[in-house]
Amino acid sequence: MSADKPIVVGAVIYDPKVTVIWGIIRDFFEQQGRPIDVSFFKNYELQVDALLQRRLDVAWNSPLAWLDAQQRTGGRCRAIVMRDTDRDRCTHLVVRTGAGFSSVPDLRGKTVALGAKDSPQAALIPTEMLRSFGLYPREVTLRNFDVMVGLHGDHTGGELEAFQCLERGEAQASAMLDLNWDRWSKDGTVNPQQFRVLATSEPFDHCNFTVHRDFPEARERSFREALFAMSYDDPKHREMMDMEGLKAWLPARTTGYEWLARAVDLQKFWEQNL
Amino acid sequence: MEPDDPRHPTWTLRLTASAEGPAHAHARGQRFDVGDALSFDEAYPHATALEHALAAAGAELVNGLRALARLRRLELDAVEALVQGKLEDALAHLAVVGAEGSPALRSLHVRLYASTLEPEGAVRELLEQVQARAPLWQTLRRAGVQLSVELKVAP
Repeated sequence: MSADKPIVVGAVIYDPKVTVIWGIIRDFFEQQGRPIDVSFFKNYELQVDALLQRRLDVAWNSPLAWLDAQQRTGGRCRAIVMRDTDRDRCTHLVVRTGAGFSSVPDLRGKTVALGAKDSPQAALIPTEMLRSFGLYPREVTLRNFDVMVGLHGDHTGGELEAFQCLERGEAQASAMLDLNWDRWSKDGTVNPQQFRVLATSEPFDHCNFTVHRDFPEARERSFREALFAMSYDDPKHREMMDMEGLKAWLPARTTGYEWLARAVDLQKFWEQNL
Repeated sequence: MEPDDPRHPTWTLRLTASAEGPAHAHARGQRFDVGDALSFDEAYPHATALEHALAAAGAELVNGLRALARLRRLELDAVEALVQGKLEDALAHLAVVGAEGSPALRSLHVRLYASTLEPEGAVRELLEQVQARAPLWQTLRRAGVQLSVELKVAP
């Protein structure tokens, strides 16, 4: 394989505007003399298929897609790069202020609104959080808002509908990613006077660039070096980094997926969604 | 040389595409630029082909309404339209793997405002005639695009 052949990168499109960001990233790699081609996918399952069939060199994977790739290859994939903001994310369980809940076990017998069933942050991890407090599905009603299943919660519609369910009083708690709680509290979507965080999950990691184990080291290094050349201090790079929601690219780590892996395992997610 | 069938006159445009910029369209003595088929980038610096198409369909109505009002000696102070178009599946245009739909126009909605002292019924009647005579509007209707017009008449 020629060293100059563009690296083929896969990305899932949860909104057509995402293609604009990828156009800018592609131009950046071109300027670095390390060209990439970008393939877009409608969902993560198709993207992981393409990675395993070697139609992609690198996949920008959700945490669930990373686990999927690992499971389907028997652990033969590698996570190579992630954003600083992919590290140490957490999920909040949000309740109405003054509703009388002081800890998670108080939700026994109540309804908890969740995002799409394949959302790590708004369904899989919060279900595991509840379980860790002894609230098994038979002791709490879980109400999923399955908006755009297949996008692994990238589309925040399900998470937002879950919160609106809480707002209407049809649920007593809802789950949301910490970044969404912060953003929605600032933009008025959530009134932080009326709602509060009851509990926060253990930290977990989010997306990563995944390659198959036999992806050539030289090409991987070229890809990593291009990303690491991005600097938030450079105004030309900052716009692109703000659009992707990061201040620095970091080497990927996989220790941050343990919580999700346990959730997937205990909830028999793959068995129920194949 | 046989004259054209008067029912089927021909319009001819010349288009040239540059490497980076928009296509330059020349029609009669007029020139205008047309960008990519469509764009999701708010900062994209050219009007896209889709935006030109939506503008053309809207222009048929606003210009047609003015022209017909003049012929009927009805006074319109101001005419304005907001045009909104939706595709069947924008992901198909982007060649997204797994997108199974068509990038065709799915719907076109026009909100049309007319400021006039004329009776509202007279303006509505004009608008119906304008739609019936508008080539693009009728083409879109025949193609199955969902067309809707919301007319607001105010003094």
